[in-house]
Amino acid sequence: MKKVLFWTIFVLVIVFSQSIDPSILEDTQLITALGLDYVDEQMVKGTATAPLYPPGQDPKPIPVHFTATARTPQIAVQEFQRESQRPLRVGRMEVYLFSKELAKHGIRKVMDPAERSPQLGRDLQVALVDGSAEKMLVSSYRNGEMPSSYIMDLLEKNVKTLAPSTELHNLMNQLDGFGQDPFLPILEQTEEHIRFTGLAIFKDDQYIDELSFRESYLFRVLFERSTRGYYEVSYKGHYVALMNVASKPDYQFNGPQERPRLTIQLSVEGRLSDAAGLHLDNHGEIKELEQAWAREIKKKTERLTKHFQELGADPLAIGSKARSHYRSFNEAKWEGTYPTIPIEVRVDTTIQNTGLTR
Amino acid sequence: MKKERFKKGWRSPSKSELAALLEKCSESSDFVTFKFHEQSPFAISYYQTLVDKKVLQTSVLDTLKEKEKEWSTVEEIKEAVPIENMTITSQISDIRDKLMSGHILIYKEEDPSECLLISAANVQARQISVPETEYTVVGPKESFVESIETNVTLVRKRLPTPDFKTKELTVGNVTKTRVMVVYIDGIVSQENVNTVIQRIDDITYDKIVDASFINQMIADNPSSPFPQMVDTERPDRVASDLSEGKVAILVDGSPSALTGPTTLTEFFTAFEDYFTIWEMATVFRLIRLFAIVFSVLSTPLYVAVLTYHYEVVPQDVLTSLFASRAGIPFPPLMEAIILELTIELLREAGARLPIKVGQTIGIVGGIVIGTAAVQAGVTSNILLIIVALAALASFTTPVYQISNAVRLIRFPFLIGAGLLGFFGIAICSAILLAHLLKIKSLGRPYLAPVYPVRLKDLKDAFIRLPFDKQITRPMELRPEQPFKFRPKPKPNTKNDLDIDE
Repeated sequence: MKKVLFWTIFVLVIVFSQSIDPSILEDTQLITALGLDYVDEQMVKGTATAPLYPPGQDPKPIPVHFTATARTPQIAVQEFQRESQRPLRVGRMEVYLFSKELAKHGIRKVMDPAERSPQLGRDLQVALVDGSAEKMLVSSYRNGEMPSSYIMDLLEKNVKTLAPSTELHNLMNQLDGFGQDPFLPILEQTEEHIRFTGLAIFKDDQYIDELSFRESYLFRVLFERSTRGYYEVSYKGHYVALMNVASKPDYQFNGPQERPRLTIQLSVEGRLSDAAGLHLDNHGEIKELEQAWAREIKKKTERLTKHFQELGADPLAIGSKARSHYRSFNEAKWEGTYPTIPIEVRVDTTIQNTGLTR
Repeated sequence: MKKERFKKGWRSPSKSELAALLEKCSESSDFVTFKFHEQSPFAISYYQTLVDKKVLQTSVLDTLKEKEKEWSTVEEIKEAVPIENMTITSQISDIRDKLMSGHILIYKEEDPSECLLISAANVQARQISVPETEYTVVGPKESFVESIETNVTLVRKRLPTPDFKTKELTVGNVTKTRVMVVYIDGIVSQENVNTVIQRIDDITYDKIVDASFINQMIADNPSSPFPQMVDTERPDRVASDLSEGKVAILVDGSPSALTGPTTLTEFFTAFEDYFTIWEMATVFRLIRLFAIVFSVLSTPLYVAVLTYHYEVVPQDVLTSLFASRAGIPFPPLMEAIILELTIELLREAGARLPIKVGQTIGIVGGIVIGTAAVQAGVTSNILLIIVALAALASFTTPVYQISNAVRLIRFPFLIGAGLLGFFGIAICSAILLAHLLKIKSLGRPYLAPVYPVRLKDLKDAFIRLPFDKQITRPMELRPEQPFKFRPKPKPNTKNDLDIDE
């Protein structure tokens, strides 16, 4: 009986495995980047980069682009199929871009296929393009063989130190979760480079404002634990650069649920890396610099939180944090409460060392 | 007692019975029968090829000649001949067996009721040499030979205790092979000994040429590719296994011993692990374990990824994978099977040919065929690397038989990966795991101490803890004496004053 069962299953596997559609690697063309531009309320224009790899010892991928206009991104991919040499696959996509124009009309519609697809990695990098996404993907750049890998490396390795990570799974959480709003890095095409210009702030799924890249760094310090990056502090008429060794925000709610007060306890440890013209040979001096630095951070971050409250956007996920703090939290009332909460940032700075020289 | 048996069923050999036997024997040209001198009533028979001529000349013939008197009974001869192992028997089957194992038969032609058998076997044995398949850099360098006496000596001199016991059995209708079950009484679980003896008794087969015959015949699951007893040529390993509470089987004519019950983890244990310090031994064991997993899974993973799961390839690897695969006419499964078969061919060819030619085959196969295949565009160079590494990894197994098992189980995995991708690999893994869970070695679970979990036995499974932590014998063997030694209580040195204070 067991043997019969085994062989039946074995034969069934052999027979039905013929109907599985394989995608043998070299017989496919992998889309590495998809850019979406706004056409009108209904239509989007999709641009895909799908490099071809010639055989040989040391191959250089040939960039191939497809552009099509369709109602949804998935249909656009199907349109590309009409032109491509090999079957296109989206599973290896790394960069998902859309224009600022599209973001103003809401990104939920274009993010949906990316969220649904089981083939896409959750580490897909999502970013906003200031200008045309098509042009950014189609152009060639001097410091990157493929635009997609250039953007990927830029977002994954460089922007990461300047702004919080915006991979697909974070974005999905921010879009669908309570009490938080998404933010995305903005890329801008210059003469022959792509440049990170700052963070786009969304209210629900619509773009409403943006932060400069310096502000986005402060935003990162407020948002999560961070270890890299530099601050610029003006001290006694000089500009001093301080390297972030470690910083950690701590959100503390006080008061009843109806009138909550929020204190963000921020502890920052730094290293002096650029202080020409200053003589920091005693402890008092360094203490003073620490205080100046703390005042500077406090002023800027409080301005930032105030700004978010005015916009009604919550990229710091304060709502979500409040919900986990208060028992039997009233979600319906939070929308009205959020802009009125007094938010205080308390900064505790430490300068660990001043480098090799004094 | 003997007389009682004698009365009940055992008959003294009639003249005709002995004559029939001798007639049958004398059909062989090396069988000799002669009378000592014309008038003597005694005849001497033996196989020339089995008897040590020196013993025959100096001890038997000279003694008989020395005393010129007429011998009257075989007892008298027995008294006179200076050889230790002599029997007087009247049982015809006994006479036949002893004749065949190199005894000299002396009997009265008129009255063959009592026959004297003098042991004079000519033992031709190879010199004890260095172990070849289980060579270690440090440690003893003796290995078993084809003579069972020598092999028992090699083990017994390492275990000088009367508790070390041997039980001899004879197996095989035709070969009448001597098999010895050896164990240490008081440590071993008697249940294991009984299992072994019973299973060997139950063997019905005409020839037992090597210990591996016994291994296959007494295995709990004879169809499993996994060996269920460890086959070793090292007497030190056997001695060490016996002192852990295992049973060993020695087979005459076989230069290896079987030890059991065993577990899967023991096959990844080189005996050399005990000759190096425990940290190193642990690291090497883990490397070996990794090598086996790698050897089984690497090629199937390559096939699965290239056929179905392009999503998991990192971007940096993608370019070189694309470039190496582009232009190859076969699908990944075919490509992998072709290359795996090539490696298997090389292995077989290398194993069958004489050593010097074998080396050449290795070089020709590895370098020439591999490079040519890649340049001709038949296989991708990445697969070539993977297959070669997998083959190399499968050689790291310290016990030869398990490397064959690893060789074999790779192919179902490969086909599973080609048909169903990762899902196929998962199915094959599940079947393999179920099989391993089901196997038993002499009735003891094969996957112990992993399943059933024996936390204490883990000290010598994937890792090897230092000797002072190896207090207990493997619980899995159910030894009668579970402790290897009693640790000495540590002296309380905390309050001792230094000499200067």
